[in-house]
Amino acid sequence: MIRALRNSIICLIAAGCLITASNAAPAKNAWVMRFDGDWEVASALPEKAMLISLQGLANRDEAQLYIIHPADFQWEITEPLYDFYKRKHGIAFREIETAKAALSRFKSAAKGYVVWDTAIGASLNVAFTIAGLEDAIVVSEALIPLVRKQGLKQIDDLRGRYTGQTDAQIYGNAIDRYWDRCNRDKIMLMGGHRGRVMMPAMADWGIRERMFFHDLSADPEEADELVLNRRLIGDLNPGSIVFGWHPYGKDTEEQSTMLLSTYGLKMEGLHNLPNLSYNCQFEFTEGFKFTNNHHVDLDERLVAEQKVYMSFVQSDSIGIGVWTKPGRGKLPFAWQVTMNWTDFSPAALEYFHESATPNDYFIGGLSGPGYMYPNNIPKDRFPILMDEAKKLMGVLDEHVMEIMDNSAADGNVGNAELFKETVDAYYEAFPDVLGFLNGYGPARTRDLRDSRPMISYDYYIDPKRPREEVTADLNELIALNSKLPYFLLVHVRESNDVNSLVTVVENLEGPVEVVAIDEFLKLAASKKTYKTRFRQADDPVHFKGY
Amino acid sequence: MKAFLFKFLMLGLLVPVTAAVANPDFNGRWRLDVERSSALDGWTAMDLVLTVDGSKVSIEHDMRWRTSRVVETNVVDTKERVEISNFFRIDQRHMAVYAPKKSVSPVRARWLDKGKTLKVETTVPVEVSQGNAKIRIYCEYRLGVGGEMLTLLELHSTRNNPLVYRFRKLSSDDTSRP
Repeated sequence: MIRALRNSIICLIAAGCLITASNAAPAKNAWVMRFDGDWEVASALPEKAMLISLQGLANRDEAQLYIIHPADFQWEITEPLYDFYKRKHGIAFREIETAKAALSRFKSAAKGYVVWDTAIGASLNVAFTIAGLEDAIVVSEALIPLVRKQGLKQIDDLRGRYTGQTDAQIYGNAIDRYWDRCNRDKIMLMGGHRGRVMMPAMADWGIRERMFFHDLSADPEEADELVLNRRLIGDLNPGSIVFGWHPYGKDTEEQSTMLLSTYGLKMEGLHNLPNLSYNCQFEFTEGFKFTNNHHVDLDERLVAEQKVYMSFVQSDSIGIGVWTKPGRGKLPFAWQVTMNWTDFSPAALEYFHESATPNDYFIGGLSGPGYMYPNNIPKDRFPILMDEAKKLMGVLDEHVMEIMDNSAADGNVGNAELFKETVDAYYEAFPDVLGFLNGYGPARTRDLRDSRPMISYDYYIDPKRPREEVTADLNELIALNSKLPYFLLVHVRESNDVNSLVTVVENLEGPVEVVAIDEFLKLAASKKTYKTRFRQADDPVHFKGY
Repeated sequence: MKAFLFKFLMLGLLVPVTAAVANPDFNGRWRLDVERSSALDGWTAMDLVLTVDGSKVSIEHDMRWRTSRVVETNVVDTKERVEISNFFRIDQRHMAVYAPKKSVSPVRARWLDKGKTLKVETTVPVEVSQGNAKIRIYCEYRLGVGGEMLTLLELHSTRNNPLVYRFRKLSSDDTSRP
């Protein structure tokens, strides 16, 4: 009895310690490293992979190591976010200049190292998996002396293990060895760049969370890989998240996202999204509450005039590569927020909101609480996922849902339409939104029910398209849709320069008015000059699916 | 005087006949010179395969974006107006302007400039967000000096900027696709 009581007390104390630890505020002292833009396997990738794996381990229990990438890195906000942490969270960063210094500082987080084979890309993913499970850092052969000098011992060596094997064979072996011990709520699709350049900047997160890493194809023509891919995602718990990105050259984004969607899984990219192991440990600053720059109330009624109403939307996770570029704020812009960042990267969301201009407006997406293709989400999972999305939109004060389903498209061109049943499901799931946007490239799914329009993009601005051609395209759309009001919804692809769009707008013909997306939807609800349309059975498709 | 009048009339008859004959250099596969052309949108590559057969001219469009290929052919007639089902236009793929599932377009074609220019005129129905609309299209396929370059000028009734596509002729033994 006494022993039982003593054990209970010990358990309670231990539990209390755990609770205290998990609720503890992030450390006020942290370290920062600066990366360059060299991700070549033959030069700087091995050291970066080692440091990222070290970051994942160092940040496992507390936020200690943050990495700043160059301004031209795809995720360009690492420097502004670093400033945000200093300013809003009072973090005092000390800079670490070299890999050796980083190892020296954080080696205690690692129990040893695992060697990957630089001739076999997939072996890096296997090494990352081992790193998470065994608290190891990943090193190439050339880096072994460096880690040995730090007193680290070899845990595993993949050199030669997979020579001559296909990726399917390599991952098949890795599944047999490690899958049982890996996280079943999260998995790392560490694809993206392959071959000469690899960019696994998100590996810290996968290691911290003990995820299985792979870059298996979702292409039905690579059946041996697809069957393993299916096995892994089929083993995940309902509602799980697939982090990373599809492997370039093996399959397509459309194939990969469609596959995950058929399992009701959420996609959270990209493979090079850095610092999640650090970012996830912060909450919103005290007293912070999202307040969007609404231009209309939810129950407000607007009446459209005889005009061309135009609205710009940036998706791609708040417009990868655009937020910090000059010109933002000159035009009303809607920004699609990766809502899951509420959990993984709240400081980043707070930074975006803090730095928003009155012309920046946030909308939910993409299709749900993560990147998904809704035509393919299992019917029993759809309401659950959309409930999750609704809650996140509530936290983020968002009134508009953006939808995208490219499962029948080829890249940004082709069939991005929603079946009527899918549209029905959205209208049922989101009774309180202002409306829905659809597409990525142009699309023609449109509807209006009560006061909630569903409008597809009539135009997609390719960042490389000459601005005079963009102007001509938009003027041609205005000429073709001659009934006023015309509601011209434009998707602005990541990395487009806002300043150049100002010039485009100045050269449009007709009574054009650029309005914020909430205003646009209210106006579109007042006068329906667009035709209702859903995906039709004989619409052209470029990928027939699984 | 009679002889002069006869010669004049004969010449008058001959001129249209001469004009109606196509330059044989039109025949062959032409590859788009992307750098010197109006920007294709969505599409990444294009060949034209032109075949002149009497008064008929087959204009095959061999188009590609990413892994998707589209091959569509319009056969025009330089002697008479023809009705072409699902007339293919080189569309800007990032505009929500769609070809209807079934359509018929009246097409007129004619040789100009002593057979060095093929003029094609048509009106195509399209589907846009407000329903159905039409675009009147005027094209000229101009053969360059030496017969190695082809320029396609395209005007739309709905667009104030001309679209200009420049092509280089592929050698007859070049079987590559765009």
